[in-house]
Amino acid sequence: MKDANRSGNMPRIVVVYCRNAVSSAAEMLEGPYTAKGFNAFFAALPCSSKIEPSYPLKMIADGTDGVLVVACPEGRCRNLVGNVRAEKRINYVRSLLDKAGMGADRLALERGENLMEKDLLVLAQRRLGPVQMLGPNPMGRVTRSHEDEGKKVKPRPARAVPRVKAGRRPSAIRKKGK
Amino acid sequence: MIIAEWKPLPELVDKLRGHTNVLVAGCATCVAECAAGGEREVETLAPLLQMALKKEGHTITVRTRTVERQCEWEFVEELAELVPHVDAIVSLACGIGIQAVAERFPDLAVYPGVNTTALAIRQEPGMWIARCAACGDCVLGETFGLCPVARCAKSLSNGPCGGTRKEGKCEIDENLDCVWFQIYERAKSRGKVKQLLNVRKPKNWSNSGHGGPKRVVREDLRP
Repeated sequence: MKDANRSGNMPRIVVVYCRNAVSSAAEMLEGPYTAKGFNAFFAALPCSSKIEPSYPLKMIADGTDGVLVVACPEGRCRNLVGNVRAEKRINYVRSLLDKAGMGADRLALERGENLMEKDLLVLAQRRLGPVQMLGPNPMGRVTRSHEDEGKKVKPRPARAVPRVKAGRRPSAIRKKGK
Repeated sequence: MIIAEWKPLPELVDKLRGHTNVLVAGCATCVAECAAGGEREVETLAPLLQMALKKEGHTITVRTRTVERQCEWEFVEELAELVPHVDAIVSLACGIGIQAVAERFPDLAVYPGVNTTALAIRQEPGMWIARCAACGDCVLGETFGLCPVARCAKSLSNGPCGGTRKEGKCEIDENLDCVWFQIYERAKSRGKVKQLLNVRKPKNWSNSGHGGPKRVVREDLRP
């Protein structure tokens, strides 16, 4: 019945972002968010390298239509090579998704720095096209309470995370791969 | 350690068609070290199997559990509480662990999730290379600590074949070191090249693959 019910539902995109890739001034998005044309869920990681292969796979097996991992630009990782490792891991999981017949494009990596809230939304929006090309997730969907209510969830303010003060740079989004 | 590799996903999917409740069982020792069957791999394979089968129209429930060692009965017992809820087990342990699980739960279908390939060492992160063939007649004392049985493509006992490349690589793979070249270099550095001229007698294989499965008995440890 899940599949039948989801036909009218909007795609669900999970965005997992490195906490160091967002601007310290940004009011970071965390948790569910209803945007125009899709439902998003935002989650911060201390470093993109903390993503394990099982995380996006479980999200997709749970019915998520697409997962986006947002990492810092190559060479700008606070933990030296975290985002390089994340990229290798993402590529590995993409190959697994392909073998499972789900489509590699359900998972992608984007790079960016000093990202603001709107930048994360733009990145999530950008995932929508490739994900919609694959069609609805055949796994069906576990309904989330906020989606039922169809309301926008107010983003929580950024947590107090100790950050090294670096010169403020203009917000930049760099697309890597698909 | 014993190393293994995941079986191809289509092979696993083929085995699991018709099952509805599956346990993916990991082993946190050797196969975890070689990134084939530890908790991470179990948690990665489980949703993959669900998705691959769902794509074919089969819905399965997958449970996961990783025990310390599937080759020890005490640890295998930890799976017993899950067995009543599943109709098949995919074991990501080496061949020893898979057989232990199948022996402990004989009424259940137990499928290997990996192909066990060798006794190996982690050469560098993400690369494991065979070091031992469990031949039952160790010659490492005569070959300066380098095993020609496991590390020579032809398992030669008395020196290299004629195919060694100039840079000391094996003729079958330019990235593979010729172990007899390495044995010679090590003998030379220790000033014992002449020792390599000793002809080794035919190897005694009777302590390994001959005469049925190998069995070691220590009466002092038996109950």
